[in-house]
Formats: sequence, structure tokens, C-alpha cells
Amino acid sequence: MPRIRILFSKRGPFCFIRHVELPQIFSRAAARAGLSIELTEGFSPHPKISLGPALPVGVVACAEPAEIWFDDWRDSYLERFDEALPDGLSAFAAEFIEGKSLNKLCDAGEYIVHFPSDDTRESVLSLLREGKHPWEENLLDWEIIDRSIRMVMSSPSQKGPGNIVKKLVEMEIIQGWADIRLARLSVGTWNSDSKKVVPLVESASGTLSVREG
Amino acid sequence: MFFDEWNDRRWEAMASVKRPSRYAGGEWGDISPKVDPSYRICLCFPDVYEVGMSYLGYQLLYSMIKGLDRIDVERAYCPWIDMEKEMRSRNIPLGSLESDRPLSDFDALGFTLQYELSFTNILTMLDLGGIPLKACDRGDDIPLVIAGGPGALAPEPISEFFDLICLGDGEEMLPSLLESLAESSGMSRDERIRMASDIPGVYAPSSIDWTYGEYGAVPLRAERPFSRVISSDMESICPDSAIVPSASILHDRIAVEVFRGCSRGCRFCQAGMIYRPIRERSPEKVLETVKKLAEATGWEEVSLVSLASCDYSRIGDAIEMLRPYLDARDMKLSLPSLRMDNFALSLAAGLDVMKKSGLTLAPEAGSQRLRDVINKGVSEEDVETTLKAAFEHGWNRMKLYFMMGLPTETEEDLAGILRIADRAAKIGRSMKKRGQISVSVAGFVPKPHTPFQWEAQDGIETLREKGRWLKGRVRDKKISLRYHEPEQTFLEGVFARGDRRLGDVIERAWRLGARFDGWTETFDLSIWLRAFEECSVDPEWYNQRERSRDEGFPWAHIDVGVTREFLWRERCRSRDGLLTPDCRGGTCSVCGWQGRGCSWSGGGVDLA
Repeated sequence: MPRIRILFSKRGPFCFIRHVELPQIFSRAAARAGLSIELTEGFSPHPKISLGPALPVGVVACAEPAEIWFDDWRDSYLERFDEALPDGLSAFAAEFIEGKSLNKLCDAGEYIVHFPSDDTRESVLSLLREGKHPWEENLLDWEIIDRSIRMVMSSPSQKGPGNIVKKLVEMEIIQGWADIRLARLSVGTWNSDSKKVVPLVESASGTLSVREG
Repeated sequence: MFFDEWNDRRWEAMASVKRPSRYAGGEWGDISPKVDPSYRICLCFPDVYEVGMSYLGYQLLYSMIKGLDRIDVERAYCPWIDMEKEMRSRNIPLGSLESDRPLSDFDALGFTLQYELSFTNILTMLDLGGIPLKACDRGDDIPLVIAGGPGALAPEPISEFFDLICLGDGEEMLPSLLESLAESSGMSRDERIRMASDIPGVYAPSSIDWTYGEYGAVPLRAERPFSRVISSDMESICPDSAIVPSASILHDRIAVEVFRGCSRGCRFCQAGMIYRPIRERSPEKVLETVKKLAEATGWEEVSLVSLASCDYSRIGDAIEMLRPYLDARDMKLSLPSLRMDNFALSLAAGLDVMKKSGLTLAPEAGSQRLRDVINKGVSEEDVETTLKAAFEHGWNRMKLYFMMGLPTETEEDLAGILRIADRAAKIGRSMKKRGQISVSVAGFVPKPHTPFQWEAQDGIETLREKGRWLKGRVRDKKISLRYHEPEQTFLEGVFARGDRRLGDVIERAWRLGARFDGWTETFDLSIWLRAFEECSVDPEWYNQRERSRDEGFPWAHIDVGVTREFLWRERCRSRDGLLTPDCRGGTCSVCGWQGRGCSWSGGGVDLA
């Protein structure tokens, strides 16, 4: 059975739909598109779909990986599948894949962090500049882009966006999720030479870093 | 770098609440608002998203209204208390799920009255939407507020908050109502309401007043009863699309109605009285609808919906026709609302497409005597046969529904509940199944338009004692027994048979903070007791008093189709323990529908 890795984006209010709901959303979209998915073995078989590192609700996602074991796959199916996804969810790249599972491959995530309050942004920036930020070696890279901060963090499975927020709350720089805006631009493997997160679908390389809707 | 959605006025509020997916939408099958329609209605469900999205009625009305030419429809749900707080502190008005259009920007709001304990949520939604609570305080520019659903057939406690009330099947009166409203826009509010109330099935509460005296409630200016309207042709009202939620909901599957109405005649059951006559859908149409919906939605389960699935005269045919299609798509079938007596063994046997996780059976009362009183024509033997058959055919978990506080009930009847549960557990064990029996006991609430509308309801303490008595006597570890919170049952009973004087109490309680009264975690009886006291209303007068035969009822101005004579006759027969057979067996019980659309009444025997 073809194991297909797709990249998808999650935008708008849809960002508040939980990560765990996605397999069911994908399998229903596949059914609407007339595509069938292999079922898992066992007592209660379900469509075989695996997701990348969990993304908390409220985070915009530009290029998240997922793997779906379709019964059959052709390149033209991507468009059909995408059209059957609800608004806010879009699948834009796909390829056949073998080898290691997604979660083992993903070792870095690239984020845009934005603070509605200028004061908050300045406090975070000065922490970053002085090297006194709370994420220690977890933070691989950062830079200022317009009025936001681009941050690359390691261990997206254990220390994802939740960890960015948690540490800032602990330091009493923000009170919670309402005081911060987060977007994950990509998640994949960290290339320390080019200082880039390499996405896990080759055909999508180079097209991902900025996908604003 | 900035993303546009971060400008959404709801973003921070959604980021601050539990379960923000309730407010996110992100569904498949929701249709973008039409460009420049001549009339916009928002279907408002007075409970949270996951409850409201499980309600089939709005799925049906949504696709029906979308199909009307110049009229558009969106939906709104009641924000949970954390979201309400966020919205108030951030000055965010309640808007539709589809486009966040504030409720005040619609031409009409349609609420469904499914349950008495969701009344305060209606006020929350109106208030958050910027709509004056009482109909009499609304100016010409404010949307018309319309009610429908089963509660609309005894609407007086909540009627002051509505401009119009729809009686019966929405498919029948809504198209003409919406057309009429679209044409009359620009006229004064009173004029529009008057025009609308000429449409059959539409009642304007402002058109009548009430006096209350020795003989009960008397409507003034009600020249004729307001009649419920029905769709008689089930073939012509099939949906061909549905909205698929992205967040988990209660009933996350295709639901296709196989018939409306029920003529079993259980005397406590409001649905069995107010949805008559029986109107069936052909198995061919059921299959066609299932196919359309399966392809349009991608749902993996189908539920055949009705008040009692196995009473569908074509159930066998329908399942045979569905089976190959469902098999080929790896889809499952579920049949909610099974009755105990006629669950055909052959039916259960062949059902490999059938979902066998849990089966719900409702004997309702523990003894034969009491089951006869309530006209639940089920024998002890039926109960056993069904239990055996169900375990045999692969079901492991059995849910048994009972009521406590039924008219004439004694301790012996309650003991019968335990006896049936024990039998079920023993049968399960003897068949070496991991059989789990969960028993749910609801406090009986006498409902309007039923033979028990005259009865007194048990008080809170009595129900609690009965519940504890039952719970304390469960010995078998395979049995878990829970009973409904008597305080909620009490309040439900007050509003079920309430009159217009309760409107002030509802508003008072809401202002005192009553929210989501149907949820045990948020329900607070003390708020309500204070509201009753401040409004000088005695709640017990509404539910703990036996009414006299001719008392004027505050729902008597609404004609649901069954006659008061029939209901009284049934009430008397209940006291004599006399069964009234289902009319489909050939004896007409002269409920009021004979000769008016009931297919079973021809040549029936007159019991009157």
C-alpha cells in the first residue's frame, strides 16, 4: 500500500480544532474524495494515518506533515483530497515515502512568535539579545522579522509551542495564550549549516518558508 | 510577519477558554453566506456546539433553507460560561458560526425548544447578541425571534421572549413564513407579526393574554386554537447534504429518519402524542438518502432515526437494502430507540453491519402492573427474550432505562427495577459475556399533551429517597445504577406545565446567574428558589398538584392533533390498568387523527 506523506496547513479559526481530531477529518475527506485508506489490524480497525509532532490549539500551521496509507495513489489525487478538506485545512504537497516514522524524523520546528503588546515584545527581545531567555539549548536560532520574532526550536515532539508559552508564563512575561500569537512555519530536520528546518516532503522544499494565506 | 487570523476579534477569547473548538466552525458542508439575500435567519441552538450539532432538526432545516431562493441561513450556539465571560469582558457580540455576523444583524433568529432546562441559555444568546430579551421591548430594527421544536407546543413560560412560535414540522410552515417575512420587511414589527401569524402553524404570543382563576388559565382574544402543521409526505423532504463537524460531537454520524410519529401510546410519553400521525419513508428513499449523505459527508456510520426503530414497518427491507452498500464502504449501522417487545431475532441475527457496542432498552417501569398503567405493552417475558437475544447476538453492554415517580407507583414497582437489572446481569453471566448492565432511572415529569398532564409530580425529597433506595440495593458488581438529579427533574416539571407568569422567573434567575441548567456541573437550584421567591411564584403549585379534569391549561390553546377527550380517556384507563393497543394492530383509539392523515384509522374500532 502506498504510504503517502502530505504537508498541510491549518489556518483561521480552524487552528482551534484539536490535533487529535485530524485523523478522522482526513479519513472522512478521503471518503468524500472517493479515496480509500488502509485499515489498521486489530479489534477495532481504523484508517491508518499518522501525524507529526502534536500542535496545540491556537497555533497557525503552515506546513505540517502527516502520513496516510492510501489503497492507491496518483499525483492527481492530491487536488481531489485537498478539495474535500474543510475550509481552514489545506493539503498542498504529497509524496511516496518509506523509512522512519514522522516523529523520529522531526527534530526541529520553525515558529513565528508575535506579541500584541510592544512592551512584551521588547522584554522578550532583550532576553534573547542578552542570552537570558528561558529556552536554553532548546532554542536553535532566532531573528527579528518585521514586528515578529522567528524562532527555531528543537524537540518539537516534547517541547513544542506549548513550551514557548509555558516558559514565558513562568517568567511572568505573559499571562497565557491570549497574550501571544504563534505560527509554526515548518517542522522537520534541522540543518545547522544553512540554519534552516528542512521539510519532510522533498517536492515542497524551498516553497515553504513563507506561506501566508 | 503577521497572519490575518490574528486580527479575528474572537482570537484571544478562543485562546482563553476550554474547548475552543466549539467556536471554531471548520466544518465540511457548511455553505458560505449568500451574497445579498433578501432575508437572513440564524438558527440558534440554546446549548453548546457539540449538543446542538447532534440535533438532526437543524441539519434538515439548514439544507432546506439554503435551498430557498433569496433566503439565507446561518447557525449559532450558546457559548459555555467561560466563553460568555470572555465575550462580555472583551465586548464581543454573539455571532454566527459561519461568518461571525452578530445576531443583531440578522432579520430573524430561530430557536429550538428541546428541553425546559435550556431556557436560560436562550436569554444568554439574545443578550450576547444585542437583542432585548422581551418581545415587547423590541423595536422595528431588531430581528424577529422565533421558536420551534417540541417545547413550542407548550410555550407559555418562555413565550414573552418570542415574537413568533412555530407549531409542527418546520419543513411545512417555514418556507412560507420566511417568504412572508421577506416580503413584509420594511413594515412595522406589529404588522409583520400579524401577517406572519396568518400562516397555518404560526402563533404570535402577543396576540393573546391570559387570566388565571379558579378554573385554571384562560386565554383572552384566542378565537380559535393554534394548530400544529405536519409534513405528510416523507419522500419529499429528504436532505441531500449535511454538515460534518470537525470537532467531536455526541452523535457523529449520518442520521436518516425512517418515520415520524408513534402510535404505541405510552401514556407518559410526550413524543408519542405530539408527533402523530405516523408517516413512513420508503426503504428505497432511505437507501437513496443514505447513499447521498455517505458520499457527501464521508461519515462512517449510519443511524436510522425514529421514535422506535423496530416499529418501522419496512425495517427488514431497509436493512437488507442497506447492507451491501454499507458492507462495501466499511460502514456501520446503528438503530437507536429499540423497543423490547418486537426486536425480531432474525433481524438481530443477520446484522453484521450493525454496531454492537451498547444496546439501550427501555422497560420504563419495574413491574407488569405499572407497565400496564403507563401502557408500555412489554411483558416480563419480552424483557427476558430480548436480553437473551441481544447477548447472543454479540452485544455486551446493556443500558436499561426506567422511571421513578410514575402515577400509582409503590415500593414493589421500584423493586421490580432491581429484579430486571439482576436478571439481565445473570443472563449476561450465564452466556459468558463480559456483560455490563447500566441502569438509568429518571424522575417522571408529567408533560403537557399527554394522558398524564393532570398528574402530580413527586417532590425533590421523594425522588431522592427513591433514588437512594434503589442505589443502595444494587448488589451485583456488573450493575451500575444512576438516577437523575431530582432538583433538575423538579425544575423541568415546573416549566413543562408552566404558564406565562414564569417568564419573569426565568429572566430573574438568568439575571441571578442561572446558566446551562440542564448540566449538573452548572445547575444551581438555590438561584431558582430565590427567583421564585422574588417573583412571588410558588413552583410546587405547577408540578406537585393533581389537576382537575376540566382545569384550563396554559397549553390548551395549542392543538397538537390529539384531543383532550382522548387524553382523559387514556388517563382513566391507566388508573384501571387497562392497555390500549397500538392502532397499527387494527384498533383505532380515536386519538383525534382518525380521518385526518392517519393511515391506520380506517375501519378501526371505536374505544370511546
